[in-house]
Amino acid sequence: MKRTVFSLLIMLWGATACLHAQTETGTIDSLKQQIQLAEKQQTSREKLTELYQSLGAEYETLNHDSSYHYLQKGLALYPQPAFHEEGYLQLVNSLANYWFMEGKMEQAKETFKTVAAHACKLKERQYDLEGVVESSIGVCYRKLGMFDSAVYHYNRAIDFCKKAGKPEDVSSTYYNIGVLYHLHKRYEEALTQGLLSAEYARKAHDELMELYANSLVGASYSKLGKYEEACHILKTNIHKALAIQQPLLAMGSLCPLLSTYQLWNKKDSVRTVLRKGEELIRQIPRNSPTALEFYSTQASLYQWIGEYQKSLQILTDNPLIQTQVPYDKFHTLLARNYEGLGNYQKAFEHLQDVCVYQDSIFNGTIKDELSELNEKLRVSDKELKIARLEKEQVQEKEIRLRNTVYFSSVIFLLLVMIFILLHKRKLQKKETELVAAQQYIEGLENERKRLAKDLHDGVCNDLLGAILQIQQQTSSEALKIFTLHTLEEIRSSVRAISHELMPPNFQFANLNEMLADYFSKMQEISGVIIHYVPHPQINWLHISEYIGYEIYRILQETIGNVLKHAHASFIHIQLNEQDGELRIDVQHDGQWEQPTEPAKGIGLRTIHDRLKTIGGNYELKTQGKQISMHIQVHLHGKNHGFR
Amino acid sequence: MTGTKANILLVDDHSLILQGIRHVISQMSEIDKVCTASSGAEALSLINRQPFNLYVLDVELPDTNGFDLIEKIQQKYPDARILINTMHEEIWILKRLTKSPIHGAILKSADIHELTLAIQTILKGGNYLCKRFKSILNRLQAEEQLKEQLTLREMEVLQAIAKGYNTREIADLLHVSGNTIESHRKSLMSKLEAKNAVDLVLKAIHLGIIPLDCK
Repeated sequence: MKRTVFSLLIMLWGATACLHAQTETGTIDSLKQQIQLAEKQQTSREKLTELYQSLGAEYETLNHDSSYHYLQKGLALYPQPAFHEEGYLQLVNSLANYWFMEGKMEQAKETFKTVAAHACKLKERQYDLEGVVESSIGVCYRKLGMFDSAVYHYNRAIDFCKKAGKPEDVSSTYYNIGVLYHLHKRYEEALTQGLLSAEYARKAHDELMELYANSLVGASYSKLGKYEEACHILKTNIHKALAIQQPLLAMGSLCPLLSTYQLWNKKDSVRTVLRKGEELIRQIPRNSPTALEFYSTQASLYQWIGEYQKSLQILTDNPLIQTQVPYDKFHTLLARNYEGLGNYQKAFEHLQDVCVYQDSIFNGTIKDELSELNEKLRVSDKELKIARLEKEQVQEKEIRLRNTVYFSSVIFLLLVMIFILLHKRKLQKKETELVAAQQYIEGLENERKRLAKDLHDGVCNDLLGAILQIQQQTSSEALKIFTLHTLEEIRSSVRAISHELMPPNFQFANLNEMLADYFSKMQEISGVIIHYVPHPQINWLHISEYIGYEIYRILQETIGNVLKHAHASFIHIQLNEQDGELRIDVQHDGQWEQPTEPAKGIGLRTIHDRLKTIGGNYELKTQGKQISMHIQVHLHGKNHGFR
Repeated sequence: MTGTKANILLVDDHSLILQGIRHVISQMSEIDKVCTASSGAEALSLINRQPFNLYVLDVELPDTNGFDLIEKIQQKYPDARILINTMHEEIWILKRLTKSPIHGAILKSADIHELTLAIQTILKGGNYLCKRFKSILNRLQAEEQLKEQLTLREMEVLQAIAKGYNTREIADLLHVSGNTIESHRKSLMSKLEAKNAVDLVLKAIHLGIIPLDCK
């Protein structure tokens, strides 16, 4: 029984959601003055229509007759129906609301449908109007118990509201859907819809709509057993409604509050709130859905506290309650009262009616429809989320793409730079190799030149001389002696050249021994005293073969040059090692043939190149025609050059 | 070897030299048979067939190194007697020869008598080194023996002494005082461990510090 009463309340109170709220008297007066002024000034029909429509709407919840009067005045402006004008359609919509408030659901539904049929043909579509009308049609169908049609129109309402993008309309539609859920005892979903409705109402700054939404939230909490939360929300709602002089809205929250106390089994609270309700009911139209809702609640509560006669009286005095309460619930309440009063015959008759009604498979179909609606809403929410996520993904992709392009460009530039550097280095290397090859070839050519010169100037001349001498010799013995002597000289000369060219082998002798041997032989061949003074501290084993080879060749070149060009009788060569550096001093007592250009000779260039490869350097000191040379070589450092 | 005549193997890639040496050796009374080979492979073929009383080898052969050939002969005949006959007088080759298991070494440019003397000496069980090689090795030893190297000025003084100048003449030549020259002279005597000026010059020539025909 408790559930029945509460559902009735919700139905009645939900019906008001699509209606405009009560307005203050000041607004009505102002509108009346504006109409008078407009009529005097013969203002346009559109403006007058708007004013009459507004005034009718203002009276909608206060005085039905007045509302109807002004709406008819507005319609009278049109000798022929003008469904192509928005103002006219707004008037018809308000008229439909009037029928609704009068409880004439069929008439209201048809009028709303007329508006809907023409609203879609307007030059400029008014999706907000279409949404509100579709939602109203849904409510009418719900009132008429045609829940499938109600669901269909709610669906359409949602689509239009989304297109219109007006949060107040979205709030209203969510609210109506929530009420439908509530009627079908799907309180969790009803709560969700109520909360959404309240959220959109807040966005739209629609205080009245927020109050409606909160009353649905409170009722849902109540059904979910959260009585404290429910009572808190509903009491707050009542206070707020009274503060803004909206007794109708206050009553809208008062009915679910009563049901909550009933469920909570707080009879004292029920009696207190009932008294409050009985005071407030006088301030609202007697036949308004809210008033009818209160009467049904009142009847239900009197039945609950055992005052069956009082309850029965209320039900029979207000037959319009049947327009607000489902058939089965109304008759169940009647049956309980008759049962309480001992009139079992009557009670049985009413219960029989209820049973026949409830046998209908209609409810099952509606539940399926509701599930579909719920699913649609969820899908819609998910679609929104997916759209948001997709947008985020697109943004992320853009950022990623931008970063990829940026990094790719940087990497590409780096690669290009590296490629250029490597190419440059390759070119440099090639150039160096080319220079080295040229130097090598030049060196070979110089050596060939020198060898050719030595052979030509030495051996060839000796042989030529020998031939001339032999031709002049008459005595055979003298010829023999001379020939042998000459051949020995030539052999010695060739041997000297060969020895000069022979590459030293460091496996069996060190640099010191080689130099000593070489200088000794040169002294022997040239007759010039070559004084070789190696410092005893030099560690010959530490001198690498590579450096040793170059030093050997450098000193060969140096001594060879001195012997050839300086006409020296004495050459002093001193070797010393200090701080990892080999220092060589070459002094002689001769005089250079061309003292001004000693550095231009091939010999010095060879010395320079050889020193370069082992990281050494040399210095020439000239004193008059005397030239001394000082050479320095790092023994343990990193040598340069190539080999 | 006394009483019996020796068989000799001559190895040299220069046919003229090979024929020349063969001619000289063949005339020696101590020699019975002279075999010749102009390459390492040919020599090894002969060695594998029979041992010889003496092997006269060149260190430079077209197909192998003379030192490798010495090693192979030594492996086959540990008591083999080997005489090296070479054109090379480079210090590194000479030093290597001194470390090889040979009984003698001569230069091809040496006197023919040196060759016959070397063969005779080795066949008698002795060792032989030609004068040139001896001289080089002596100089090497002398350098090692020389306690302290001579200074530039000491060399100048030594040269002047070798030319027969007296102290005053040397002092005039080098633009220094007589006392300074005397001091250098004493130092030279000490370093070369000489008793007088004649001994000083002889030792200097012997050690190769100054040549015989010093200018």
